[in-house]
Amino acid sequence: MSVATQVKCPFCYAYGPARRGPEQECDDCLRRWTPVPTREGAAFSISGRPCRVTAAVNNTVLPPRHGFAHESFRHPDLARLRRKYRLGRIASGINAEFDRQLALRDWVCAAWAAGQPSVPFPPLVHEDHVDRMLTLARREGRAYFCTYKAMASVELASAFGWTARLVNIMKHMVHEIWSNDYNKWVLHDSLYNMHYERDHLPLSAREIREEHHRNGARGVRAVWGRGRRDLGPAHCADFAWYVVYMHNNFFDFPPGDHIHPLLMPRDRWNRNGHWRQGVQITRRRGDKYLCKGMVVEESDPRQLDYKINQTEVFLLQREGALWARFQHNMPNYGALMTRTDGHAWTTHRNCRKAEVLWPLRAGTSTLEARCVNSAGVPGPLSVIAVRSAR
Amino acid sequence: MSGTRQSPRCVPTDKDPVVVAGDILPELRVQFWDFMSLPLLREFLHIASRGDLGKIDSITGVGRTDNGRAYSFRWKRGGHALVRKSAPIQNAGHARIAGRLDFETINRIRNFPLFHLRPEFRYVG
Ligand SMILES: [Zn+2]
Repeated sequence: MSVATQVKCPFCYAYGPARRGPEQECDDCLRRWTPVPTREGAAFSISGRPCRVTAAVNNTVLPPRHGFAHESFRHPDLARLRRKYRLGRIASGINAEFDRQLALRDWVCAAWAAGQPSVPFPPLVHEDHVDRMLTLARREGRAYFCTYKAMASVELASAFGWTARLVNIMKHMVHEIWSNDYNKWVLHDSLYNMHYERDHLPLSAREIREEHHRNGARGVRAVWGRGRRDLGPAHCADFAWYVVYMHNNFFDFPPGDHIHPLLMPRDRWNRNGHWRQGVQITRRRGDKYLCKGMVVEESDPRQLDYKINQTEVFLLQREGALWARFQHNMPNYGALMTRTDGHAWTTHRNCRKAEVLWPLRAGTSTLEARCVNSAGVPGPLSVIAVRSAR
Repeated sequence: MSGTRQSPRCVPTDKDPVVVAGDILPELRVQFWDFMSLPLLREFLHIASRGDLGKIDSITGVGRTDNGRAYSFRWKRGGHALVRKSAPIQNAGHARIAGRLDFETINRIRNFPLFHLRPEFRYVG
């Protein structure tokens, strides 16, 4: 089913064919409504008043094809970690979320060295846990290599109310954190205290891979530390192939448990290719990860970098007035926040039931909506501005 | 993922000191894995001079780039970094870092990409 040409029901979020005429009916819940367009430039009228959408950032919720098992931000181990390591101090005094995420990465980088004396390879992730790693590093000078750094970073991100996912590129483990500031996944390397940027925009693993295949990652820069120091052109060959671990509930299910799926790009860059490592290369047999049996192959960039923390606004007309309804896809959802014309925020515990009457004033009116997760972290803001004549 | 197994090309000369939380070292010697990169070395010296790594007073060392050319380098607080060609060296080289080096500073230095360069991996963890 292509959702592009379909109409989404603002009550039950089911897709269906658009009907002729202004009124729509949902084939699933049978409710009827008269939608009002939310795209920039769209014109409509309410009780005979001509209106126009003058600005719109509507963070639409696309149906995901692949599920992800999220850590609960209320997990007792997270509260313990926050207390024991006084994690609140790491990003205190830093306002921008992305800068806070860089502060966490710098802290993880400085928490132990990847060198000697090291843990064995391959990793014994089932025996290791961020608390144990931090303790042994501090007390015994224990070193842990990239896999452990990335795993610890994902666990610690949860302690801050950020959603992170483990990413294995070729010969190296890294992670991504969802950035509400940039409204995208951003790849982080907490071993080297680095991320990757193009035109000062931080990139995801998928974007780095695409840059590598398109042009040898010509425009990609390696960026270090809290101060985003430019280290020069990045070496991105290891991004030719990657998998995303589709869970981050590591306190109960350590990575590599053969239960949760792995998401792997399979597209024109690797259609008939093999990702082989070690003895697989010399024997010219086997495929890394595919042999595990739980790999999901995906070519759609929107599914590989599926967006989270989105709040979609639906506008509808009812009895001559303009109303708004909402849909979100925020893991660890806390509440929906809405406001009109810059007034005080209204909190809605149940996003699906929330309905906001939007009284348009003469001139420009604005409606803003975003969700906040159970750790108090707000998602990206959806904003719609409508100009109306008296 | 990559282990910490060493490349046969690298000739390890030092054993890394075991550093624990609370330690403060006046000096630390860090080896390059296989080679160094001049642009990364310059960024490392620049970042160190800005205090982003920790309390570092001076850096001296010698290393070779992946084409085999050797360079010596030095920087002292308040001064400019100096990088110049040097006599050929056999090993991958090292940096000697002095200052008030605590656990976090030492970890940041050891994890800096400059010290993890190998031909087939570039950065290696
Ligand atoms: Zn419906």
